[in-house]
Amino acid sequence: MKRILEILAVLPMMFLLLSCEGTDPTPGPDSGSGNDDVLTPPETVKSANVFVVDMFSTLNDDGEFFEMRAVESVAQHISAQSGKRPLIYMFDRADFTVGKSHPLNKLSYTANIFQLFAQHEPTSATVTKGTAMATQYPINVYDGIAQDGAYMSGLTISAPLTTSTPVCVYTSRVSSLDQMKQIYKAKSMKLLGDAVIVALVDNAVKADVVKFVEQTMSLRATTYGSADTKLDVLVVVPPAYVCRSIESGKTVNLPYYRVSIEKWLWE
Amino acid sequence: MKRIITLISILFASAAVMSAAEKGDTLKLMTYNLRFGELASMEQIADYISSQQPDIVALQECDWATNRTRAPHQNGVKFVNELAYHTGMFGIYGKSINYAGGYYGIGLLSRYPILRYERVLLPNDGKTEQRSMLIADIELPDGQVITFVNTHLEVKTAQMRIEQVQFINEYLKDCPNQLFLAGDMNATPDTEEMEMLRQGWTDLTDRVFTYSTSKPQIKIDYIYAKPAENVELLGTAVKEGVMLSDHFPVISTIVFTNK
Repeated sequence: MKRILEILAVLPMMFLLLSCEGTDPTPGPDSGSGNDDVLTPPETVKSANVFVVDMFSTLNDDGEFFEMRAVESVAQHISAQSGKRPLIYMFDRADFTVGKSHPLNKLSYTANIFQLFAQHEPTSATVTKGTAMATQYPINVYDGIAQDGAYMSGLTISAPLTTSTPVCVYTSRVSSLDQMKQIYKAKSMKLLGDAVIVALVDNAVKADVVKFVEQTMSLRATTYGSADTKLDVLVVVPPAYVCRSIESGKTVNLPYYRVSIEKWLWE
Repeated sequence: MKRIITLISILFASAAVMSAAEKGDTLKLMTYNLRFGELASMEQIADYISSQQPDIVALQECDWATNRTRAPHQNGVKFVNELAYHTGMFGIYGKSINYAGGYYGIGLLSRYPILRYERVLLPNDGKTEQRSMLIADIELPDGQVITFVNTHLEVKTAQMRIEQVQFINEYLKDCPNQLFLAGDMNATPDTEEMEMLRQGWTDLTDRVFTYSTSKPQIKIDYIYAKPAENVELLGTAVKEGVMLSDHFPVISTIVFTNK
């Protein structure tokens, strides 16, 4: 009786083993994560799925951006945009001084613009360095981290793509690999979804940061800058997105970098 | 002799303030329902706010570029943007509903940068106006992060307010930071919904009437804190005599120590 019970217990396991062998009799290449072709974006750009971010910066960290530049020029730049307008305008080193109207307040006061401030450093009782962000889209969620010296903030906006998609666009100032590690620690899961980073990275740590982003975070990293500049534009996107281009431009005396990002992979 | 007594009193008062300040962050919190700017200009409201030097202000009944017939002087005005511009504070806006060609909702001004924020819609039975709350994380100069919540609860039904209070409590239950909740609760202190709030939160205001400015008869504007043990109330005041809205502004000054 005991032997019969043992045989009965083993039978289902044998059946399972045999059925597995039957479905995949010959070993072959793994078509999962090991296959690079699976998540390679197509060369053809589908413009309906592209959104644009303008990052204003001198890439040299040479003081408060609007100290010698007129906010009115930004207003002109924004109103001059035609066709698919940038989702967000970012202004590096648009620092916040307590009790003093922020440079972009004037812009949002006169134009139909929502603006926010992403701090780069711990809050100061006087001046806090950071990036200002302006958008014409209402913001329901403004996400951010302040973790062991790493700061990152981002707006979630319904991007007008083929299908309206809530995309979180973060910005940060990355001056060390440790900061990127903190960002990864805090936002690793979110950054695999509909979230991108348009940031500035110190030239000196650029290579390490890009390597970390690609190898540890499993995200795509693109940089733009030159050996003459202290900073590079850094764009980090998840597998379903691709940074199509980063182009430099200038409006009056306001240098900017136009980042085009496409969501190419839809579920 | 009189001069000596005065001097001693000043010394004691200074010592008390210094002792509180040494313990942690002194924060001046304000809540103010603006009644869609019907009774004053944004410059007037901003001047008043600036004169009080608050650190954080919860604003209710804020329009964003509406064409409201009852406040034609505010047509097209984005309240929070203007107030931020005139006060030199940070401004964020939370839309509750579309209204008169723009938005109607709540706002928040902060003396310090806002690390993150979220506009959350409160429960709504479909028969009443949609209400919302704005949740903002703010890093103070000493590195401590607080979460400040601004809301404007339903006006017509107590049952809806009870559900909204339950929702707020549930939504914030895992918040790791010191919490402050301010706003127009549309409920007097003796109501069930305010009793529910007091079970988890400490009221940082007194019982002076906040509404209406022309005939003060009820208190419906509050500032709460949670947990209570980290917060010491230095003073609170309903700013009677400020006639820029149909509500009086309410200001509480606290010392916050993260134990």
